Order: sequence, then C-alpha cells, then structure tokens
Amino acid sequence: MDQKEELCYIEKVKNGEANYFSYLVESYKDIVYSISLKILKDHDEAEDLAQESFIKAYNSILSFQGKSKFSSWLYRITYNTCISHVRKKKQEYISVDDIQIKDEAEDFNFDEIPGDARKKYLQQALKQLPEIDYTLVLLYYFEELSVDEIKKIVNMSASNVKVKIHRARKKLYTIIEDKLKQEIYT
Amino acid sequence: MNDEQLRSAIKDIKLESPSASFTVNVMNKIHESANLAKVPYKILGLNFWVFVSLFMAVAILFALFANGADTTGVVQGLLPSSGNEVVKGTYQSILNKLNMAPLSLAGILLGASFLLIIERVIAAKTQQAP
Repeated sequence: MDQKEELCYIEKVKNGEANYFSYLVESYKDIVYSISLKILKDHDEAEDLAQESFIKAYNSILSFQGKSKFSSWLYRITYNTCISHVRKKKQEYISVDDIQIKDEAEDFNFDEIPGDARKKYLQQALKQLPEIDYTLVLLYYFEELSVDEIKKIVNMSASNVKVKIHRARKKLYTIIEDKLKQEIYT
Repeated sequence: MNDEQLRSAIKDIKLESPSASFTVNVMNKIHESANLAKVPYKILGLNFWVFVSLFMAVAILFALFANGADTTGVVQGLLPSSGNEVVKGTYQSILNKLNMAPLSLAGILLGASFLLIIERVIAAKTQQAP
C-alpha cells in the first residue's frame, strides 16, 4: 500500500467508514505482532496486545494529523502498549543482553553465505537479539524509518538510537558468525 | 557488509504472523465498540428523577409546615372518618417531626442533586470522547 492510498483510507476511517481500517490492519499486522511478540515473549499475549494496539489506533485516529507516518504513529502505540503491559504485570523487564560483540564483527561478509542459508541465519540471529535491539533493527532496516522517526517511537535520543542500532548490527554479525563457526566444527 | 546489504537481507526475511483471524477479530472489536458508542446515554437517568422527587416531596412538606402551623387539622382532614386515636397520634407525631425538620436537610438534598447532575454530565462527556 503506498502512502497516498494509506492516507485515503485514513481519511475514510476518520469520516466514519470503519471498514477501511481493515486495510491498515492487514498492512501492518505482521510488524505490530512481531514487536509485541519480541517484548512479551508469548504468542497469545502478543496477539491480544497487537489487537489492542490497533483498537487504540482506531479510537484515536482523529488525533492523527498526518505529520508523521501512520506506521511510526502505530508502532509508537504498539511499543508503549506492550511496555506498559509488561510494567503493569510487574514482570522484571530482563533484557537478554549477554552477547559479546567481537571487534571483527564489522568485517563480516554476508555474501559468502548462500541465499537460503543467509535468510535462515539472519532470522535466527534476529530472534536472539534483545527486545530493544530487535525493535530498532526492525524499524530501521525492515521498515526503513529514519532515526528521527525511531527516536519518537522508542522515546530515546537520536544519538542513543544511532549507537544502539550500530551495536545491534554488530550483535547480529556476531551471532551469525558464531552460528557459522558452530556448524563448521560440528 | 554495509548497511544497504544488511537492509536488503533483512527485508527478505519473513516476519512472524498473527493468527489468520487477526484482522477479523480487530474489526469485530471495533464494530462492537462503535455499537456501544451509539447507545444514547441519558444524562438524567432514573436515579436522578427518584432523587429529585424525594427532594420535591420533602420541600413541599417543609413549605407546608415550615411556619409552625398546627398539624392537628391536617391529620383530621386526612383521616376524617378514623376514630382510631393511636393512628391519629402516630400521624400527628410524624407530621410534627417533619414540621421540625431542619432547613439543612433541604439544603443537603439540593446540593446532592446538583452534584449528581454534574457527575452525570461529566460521565456523559467522558463516554463520548474518542
């Protein structure tokens, strides 16, 4: 769905044609669900919270003025909904961050890995990333959002976002390299 | 590997998907909440009118007997054929007590009615907000 089409649907929803909201749900459900799942680590809970995020977005769509992308606005709602849910449950927000970044990680050459395996390793490595790193990588690389857009979603400074993306990328390379080495030795 | 290579590799991966009925579930919940919002909300409900009626009744009684009028005639007027002195005495006693009812009771009821209206109006506005 292009931006023009998206704005057209948003206008229709604002004018009371609620059914058009389903196009927006279809477009963004995977990424909203992925962010929820990464933070909540439970499929059922992630599905519930992803639904809640969309309903919140629908209920406050009149306040969406189109100054930012609809996707950034929606991801901010999703991220905040999931984080407050975790805090409400008084779960300790433990970030699995024991990945030791290697200095040579940046020199890693992904092209040496065949296409299908590359996808598999990358998917596995993404799963191992801590919640915030995963969200940042998803928003920056997958959704191609700018640092300015991301900082509003995750409520961080631009420099902090940049540093975290840089570190997340190194972590990704480190994980993939480790996996490759493991396979070679076994 | 540079940023662009990583971007194209990441864009290639398949994200986790929610259940097949996800969109339908979201839309059902949206339609349900829309239907709820359409239900007209009475600002002045039954409780309010019960309260106001009670207040009016007390106010009328108060107005009738506020001047310290003798209530004996009222009881006799209400129960002309009754010869039962006990019943007459009881009613007389009630009316005398009402006659003594302090003005503050009416004030409390009036204040409470006013607060009730404000509460209802705020509740109605909150429900209408998106």
